[in-house]
Amino acid sequence: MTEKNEMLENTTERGEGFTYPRSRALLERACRVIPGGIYGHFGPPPCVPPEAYPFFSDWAEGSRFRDVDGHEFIDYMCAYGPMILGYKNPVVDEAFKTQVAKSDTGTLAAPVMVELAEYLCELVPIADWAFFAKNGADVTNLAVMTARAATGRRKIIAIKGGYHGTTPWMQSPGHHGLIPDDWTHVIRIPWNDVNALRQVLEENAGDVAGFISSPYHHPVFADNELPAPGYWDEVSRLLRRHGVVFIIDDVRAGFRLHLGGSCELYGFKPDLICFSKAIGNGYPISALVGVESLRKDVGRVFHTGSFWFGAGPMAAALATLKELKRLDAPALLRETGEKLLNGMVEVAKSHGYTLKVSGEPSMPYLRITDDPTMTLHQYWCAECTRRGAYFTSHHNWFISTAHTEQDIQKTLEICDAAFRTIKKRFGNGIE
Amino acid sequence: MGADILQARLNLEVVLGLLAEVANTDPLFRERSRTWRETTWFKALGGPEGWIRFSPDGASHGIGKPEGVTIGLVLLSAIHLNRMFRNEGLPPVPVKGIGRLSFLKKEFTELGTRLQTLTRPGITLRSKEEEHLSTRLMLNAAVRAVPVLAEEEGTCAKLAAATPEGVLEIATLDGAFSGWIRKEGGRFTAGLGKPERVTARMLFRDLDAARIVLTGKETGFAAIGLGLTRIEGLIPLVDNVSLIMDRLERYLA
Repeated sequence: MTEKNEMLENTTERGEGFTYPRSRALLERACRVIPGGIYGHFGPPPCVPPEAYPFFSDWAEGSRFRDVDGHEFIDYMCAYGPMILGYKNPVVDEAFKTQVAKSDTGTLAAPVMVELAEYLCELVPIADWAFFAKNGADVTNLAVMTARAATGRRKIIAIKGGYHGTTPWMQSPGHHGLIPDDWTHVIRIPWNDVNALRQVLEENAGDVAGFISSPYHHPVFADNELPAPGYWDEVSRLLRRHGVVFIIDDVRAGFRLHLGGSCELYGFKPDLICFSKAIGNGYPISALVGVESLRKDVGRVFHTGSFWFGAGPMAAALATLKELKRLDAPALLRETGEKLLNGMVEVAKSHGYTLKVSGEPSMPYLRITDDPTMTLHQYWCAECTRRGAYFTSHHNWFISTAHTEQDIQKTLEICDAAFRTIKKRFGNGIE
Repeated sequence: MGADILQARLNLEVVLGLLAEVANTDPLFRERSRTWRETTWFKALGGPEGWIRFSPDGASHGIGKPEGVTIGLVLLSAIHLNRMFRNEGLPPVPVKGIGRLSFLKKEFTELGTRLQTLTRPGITLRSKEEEHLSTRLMLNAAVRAVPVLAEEEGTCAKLAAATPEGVLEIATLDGAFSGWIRKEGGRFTAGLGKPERVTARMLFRDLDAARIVLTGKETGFAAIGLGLTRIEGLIPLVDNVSLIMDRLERYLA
């Protein structure tokens, strides 16, 4: 890292890029009445340096949003995943409006719930049934309870660095509000490590209820990793042999890589798949789908919520899935992602930097490798954001079908300007 | 026993350090403590040992047994040592300097009382200078405690194992405090001053901003957004060390 004063120099004071006085004023108001001001993954900590990022937005359409200071951004976080078709998608919004004009949250379930479940069972090859909730964690919890109900066992195997929501059993030890009992029955193993899985299964023979993992490894603050050749085949074989329920958390990647679930892209068949984020293009809904042999067990688990029967989001989800199919969205997202990422890598190279792309092109993770501390990357993302391309440095990005050729060109221009700025400030890298 | 050893190490490695800091920087003790010529050694049987030295060059402290002990105190166990630090239970067994024990009863006790006053949660201090001293002590404690907690406390050990290697600088931008925590080869060390190499930074705008955060008037999230603090570099290093530091209040309230 360079000297502190240089690191902390606020380029906004030099008149370059956006400034956010209204966002800051709102945050101050928020802090008086909301602990932390903005909580969870929308909170300020991942925005490094924070003065480069807006905190409040009041308008969004297509691939773009506008902050409360009136700056417009090409959005590569897509609400951290849900906006797969872009903001204000007319097809989805119309389906939602039509449904809520009839009914939304009510005393009885709406017919659209059955229609959506039938459509999911048709779309997702492993799905013999579907269950709906609101957030990803609702269905990762249900999946784990189902695994325990089906096996009568306690342990859950998960991947180190894998994220499955903020329920205590899935948080890392040491976070506030947790007790050691919360993680007693969760065993973490490294990604792509079949030997570790084999060892844990043998050491806990007869006590492992389920294995939960994303279809590929997309942790935060680290390069994303695809499954090694043969990995999923071997995992499937081991889990079957030990009678362990195989759960795929497709909350983040679901419908981005393959409409039948990301497992279809990688050629394997889990027992349960958790979906959320993209399924409703921003309307709050999640789904657990599963195989016939677990129908009885999931049916015995009591799991519900006041708003889980909302018909509007179900209609939106049905419209989203049909629209994704009509567009062949996974192919389109891959193509758009590749175009953007190839361009970025070239722009970086022209400034003497190495921009490493990992994960899948439709939800890539990027990192400037010239600085192991990530500082250079943080400042580059910040400079891009302050010029109108919204990136965070710690998390994978999301491509939507609303991103256009014009967006890509504009983004590459912004990247170029941002690289020029960090080159001027930091040189070739940070020692 | 594990919790007692942890507490004993915090007393010897953190509290003695804070006492030395008060002696060196508090206007009420700065001059006075330089007239003291005592090296006190504390030894818990079957547990840790540490020392604090007062000399015309200033106060210092360390672990183990030092050269030139003037007062040697043996405690029967870590529990006994911890009770002594709380002014409870049986007195320690003096193995050296029996004639100098009045120093412990008077000057050393006064210094301890002053430290308690400066670090008591919720207390209103008399001046900005006292507030700044109090804040430096809190930062000092947080930095020094991390290696002890990482080694001795179950949850912190899990956090420590998951923490990436590197050097975290913790400082105020006005230069009033600078410290560091290093994880290297799986072990944590910590110290005061500016580190040579930095992997991540947790920076407070100034001591007033640090006080707002350390006394819980703003959360860490809000403090970043409001410009009271900033973090940069290898954020998982900052995150995990912060969680370890947060657990200190369970032991040194």
